[in-house]
Amino acid sequence: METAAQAGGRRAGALANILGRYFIQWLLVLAVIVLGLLNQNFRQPANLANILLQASFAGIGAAGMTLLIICGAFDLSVAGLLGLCGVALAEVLPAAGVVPAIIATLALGAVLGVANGLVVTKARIPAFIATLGMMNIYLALAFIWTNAQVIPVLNKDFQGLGFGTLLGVPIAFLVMIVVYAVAYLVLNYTTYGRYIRAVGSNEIASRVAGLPVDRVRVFAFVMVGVFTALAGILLTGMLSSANAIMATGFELNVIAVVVVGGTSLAGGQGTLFGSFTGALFFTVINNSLNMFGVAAYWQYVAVGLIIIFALGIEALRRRFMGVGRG
Amino acid sequence: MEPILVASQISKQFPGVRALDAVDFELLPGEVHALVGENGAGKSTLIKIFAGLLQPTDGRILLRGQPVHFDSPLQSQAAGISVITQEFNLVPQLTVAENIFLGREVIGPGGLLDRRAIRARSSQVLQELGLNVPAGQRVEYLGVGDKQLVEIAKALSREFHIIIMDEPTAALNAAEVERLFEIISNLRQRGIAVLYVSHRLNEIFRIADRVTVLRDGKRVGTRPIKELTEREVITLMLGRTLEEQAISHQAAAGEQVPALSVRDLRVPGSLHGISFDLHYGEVLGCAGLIGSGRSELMRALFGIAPRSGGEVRINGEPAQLRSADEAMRHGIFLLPEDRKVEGIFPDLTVLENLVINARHGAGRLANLFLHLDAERQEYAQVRGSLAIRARAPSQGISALSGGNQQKVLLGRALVTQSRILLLNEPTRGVDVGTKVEIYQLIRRLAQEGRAVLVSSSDVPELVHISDRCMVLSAGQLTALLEGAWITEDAVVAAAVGHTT
Amino acid sequence: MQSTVTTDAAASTVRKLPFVIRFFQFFESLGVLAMLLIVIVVASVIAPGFFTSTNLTNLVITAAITAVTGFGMTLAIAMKGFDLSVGSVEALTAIIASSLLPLVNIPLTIVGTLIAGLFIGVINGLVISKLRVPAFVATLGMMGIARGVALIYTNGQSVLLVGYNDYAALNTGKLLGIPVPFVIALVTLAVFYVLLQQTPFGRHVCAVGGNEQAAIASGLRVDTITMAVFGLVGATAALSGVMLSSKLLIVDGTLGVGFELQCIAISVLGGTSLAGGSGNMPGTLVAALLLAAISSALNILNVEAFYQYLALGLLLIFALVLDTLRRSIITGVMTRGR
Repeated sequence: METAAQAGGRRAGALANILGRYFIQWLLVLAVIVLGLLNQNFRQPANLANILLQASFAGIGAAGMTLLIICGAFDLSVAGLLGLCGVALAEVLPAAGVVPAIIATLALGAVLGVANGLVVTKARIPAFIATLGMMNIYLALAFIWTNAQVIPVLNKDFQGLGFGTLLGVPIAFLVMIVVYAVAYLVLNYTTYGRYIRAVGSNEIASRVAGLPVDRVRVFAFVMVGVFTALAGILLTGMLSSANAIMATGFELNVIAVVVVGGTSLAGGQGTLFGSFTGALFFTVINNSLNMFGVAAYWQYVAVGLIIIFALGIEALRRRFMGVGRG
Repeated sequence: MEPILVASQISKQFPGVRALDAVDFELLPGEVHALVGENGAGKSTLIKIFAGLLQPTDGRILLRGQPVHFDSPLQSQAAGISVITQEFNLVPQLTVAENIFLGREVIGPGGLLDRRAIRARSSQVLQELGLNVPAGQRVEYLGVGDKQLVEIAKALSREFHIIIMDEPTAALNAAEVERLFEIISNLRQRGIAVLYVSHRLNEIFRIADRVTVLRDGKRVGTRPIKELTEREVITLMLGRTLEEQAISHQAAAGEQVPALSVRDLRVPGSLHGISFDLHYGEVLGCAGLIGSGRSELMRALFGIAPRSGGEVRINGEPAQLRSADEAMRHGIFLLPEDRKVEGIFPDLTVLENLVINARHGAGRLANLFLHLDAERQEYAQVRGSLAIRARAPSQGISALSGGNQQKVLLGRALVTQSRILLLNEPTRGVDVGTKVEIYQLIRRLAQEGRAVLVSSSDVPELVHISDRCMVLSAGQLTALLEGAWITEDAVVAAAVGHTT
Repeated sequence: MQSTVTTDAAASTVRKLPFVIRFFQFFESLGVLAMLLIVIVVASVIAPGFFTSTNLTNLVITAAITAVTGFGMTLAIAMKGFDLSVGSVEALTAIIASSLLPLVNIPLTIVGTLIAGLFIGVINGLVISKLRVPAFVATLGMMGIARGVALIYTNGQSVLLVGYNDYAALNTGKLLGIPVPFVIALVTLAVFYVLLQQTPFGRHVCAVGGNEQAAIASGLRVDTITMAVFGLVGATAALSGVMLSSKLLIVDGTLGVGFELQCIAISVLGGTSLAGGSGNMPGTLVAALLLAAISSALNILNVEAFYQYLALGLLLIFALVLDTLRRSIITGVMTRGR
């Protein structure tokens, strides 16, 4: 028989559970409310739309990265990958037209994802170091292609993509929603999605069970490649130009978003909804820092601090709630 | 004689479960005291408390009459307690000598290592153990059996009065076990107390002076081993009498094509030409010491160990078996040796662990998507068939007991409709009650027409469930026993002897 | 009592292994050296001006600056950790040194800067051990923070060191004909080599990297060791920062980008395995020289800077593939011997 105290304890535990599991969502709501009250510029629809727009780039990248981290790997090459894809788009656009150029860029992203995946699976190199090396290679290739110049994008249709809105919501953000829906579907309703979770949870058991571990890993890397290329397309649209270093620090932002969102770095489990919220949260913080006149350089510091802070919360959560593997 | 270690009314409460309940325990100097109990009885919790890894919620510990409190492994070791566990606590990249002296390095002038002293003292300890390995050898270049002995050397080289051994013989071959027992006798003579934790009752009856039985966190008895029989110990462990189920043995199958036909199978370094047939409807046991090649045989038949020669025919057709995927397509299923490392996906649910290999769609495109309804039905069927105790299909697999996890893994064979089952140590780490259930299951799976090959280090188990039993020794087949000829003596003789 | 069953396989293993293993250990140390000699010979032939005293001095100085942090990184890798913040820390400490120089004398500047680096490193170690965070993520965060602080502090501007001839002598001076930076690198090598191989601390670092569970079970304080190691890495990054500032005499917040990649590359190229548990300090120095030689040759041949990015990336991948190959061959020999 449960005593009143035990029942109360159980309910408190359940509350803590909900708070814990949706921690970042509560944090975002809190931040938006507080900042909205403190600063009237923050509340303006134009600013909110801007936040949605800015959040989409790292957000879309984070959708892929979440899947990869669940699969037990990391991709530190995304800054170079994005730069190379953006550059490719800008170079190809005048000759090919909007739709073919976009398709070609996404294909390039997939190919680079395959390259990353092969280096990690065939050469058996730890993912984060391998992709660190690949990052240099992609950056170098982008530099070589553009001769270190900035390539402008003059195609009017395309510029519409980057800046355009639908009912006041930036198209880039709508794309982000679609991307997350697709990622969610893949993760929970496809075989490879389940394999991603299995491989991240126990790679050895995956091999013994006959799962195509290498193919699954490459698949996850391809997801990162394609989504990052997509982010590159949108970013190029917004900047109306592309160059090799257009996304410096992107890997930092993306991983920060995933970490803040609550996905465990150990692999096997993760939350796409968390990454979605994390992207918004991040941008809200950056936006408000700007608003309060804080220098751009502080954002570097902010990103770093947020990563560490988020990991600290995760560590506390693990200890407090006993979440994790038995 | 005054006990050297006394645990008085020790309790340990975890959220939701009382792992230990007012346990009294005492250890006399110079005695070998066995600790037995089913999985979950509290053995490892008690050991962890003595090792300083956990603190009791209640009760106290007395060392030589003085109350002590171990807040960390360091304190427990400083008090003279040494713990040897199943996981190797050795650093592969360091030498044997460095491992033995890890944390207690001998320092020369200037704070630098006195390598000569370290090597000399290590060699001394190694000689006592009869280990013919240079102390300067990197541990990663040692075989499994030698590594365990280095572990023991490590414990021996310290100032200890109490050694706790947790399943020390799990990875040793028969000769090494003998050597270990000699060392334990040696320790006994020196007045050192040994706390011996094991599932292997036959060992305990050989080596222990007294035995303490735990059940559900409580101590149910402590008696001199001479006063008990094996059945009485099991009764204490289970709290009920173990019903001897009549295990029916089928005669070997008739004139069918064998499920597996193995000729001169070779695996570099492990198997030197094994030949046998496996028939549908039979349980073929596979016995042998560690290093005899049993594990490699299973893995080679499943396509995950490199073969250097020989032929395997499945249902009469030759098969290459280059990968797990290929083996599974031929209808072969492998139950891995170590379910935690090779078997379960800890972050996934019970359902997902069961159906991970299921293919419900027709055609490759349909198989890209999951068929959740079909899976749930499948789960319900298998759960009933194997009596898996789980709260819901969406429960995390880690919440299940070892025995139930093992059943889920066995269930994969049903899901994949495999007809050839390779079971590697099917009851390792499984409590006695579930063990019996699994024996029944194995017999039933064979009776239903499957071909079952069981590899096990538990000889009585193989004697119990096998229709035929082959014995491997040093990579060769030394005996193939049938029916009544399968006895423990015959198996062990073949395992350590030579080809007759 | 000798056992006669099954350990005969082990005995033959003991006899056969040493050759293959000794071959690899031999190759580990000398392979990089061989590559270095080849590059030097080839470069001297195809790049005019490579084998001149001036160029070689520059080469050696560049190598020294990277090698110093490389030793720290090797220590971290032996502990199975990685420090991605060394580039940002190098920039930040270069700026700190430049800021201290007008205020205090040179020895105090150096000491102060080293302490700053040590401090940052210890914070890394704290985050990693207390928050149970993978090293590369924690140092990824610190990379951003340190870089941000460097940029904020200088407000994006450069800091000029004019008239500090004694300080510049740290870079241009020679001790017994050897450039001072290289002397510093040699001393650091000696210190780190002894630390890793001949002290209990070094063995503990290897233990934590080789098998953390075993280290804990042996009573080693993993948290303290982590903080010490990362503190040392930070200190070496600070030393590189000092050396860099004395060389460039103009510092800003954008220095050291990609430095972490170079340090990891030279550790792995030098023979330190990513699996942890061991470290090859002399190899790191040789690899640093190799990298500097390649860079120098490419410069002389007027190859654009970004091709060097490419070269570095490819070289790193190459080194990593070799490491993996080496490990799998050893494992293969082990299982065949059993």
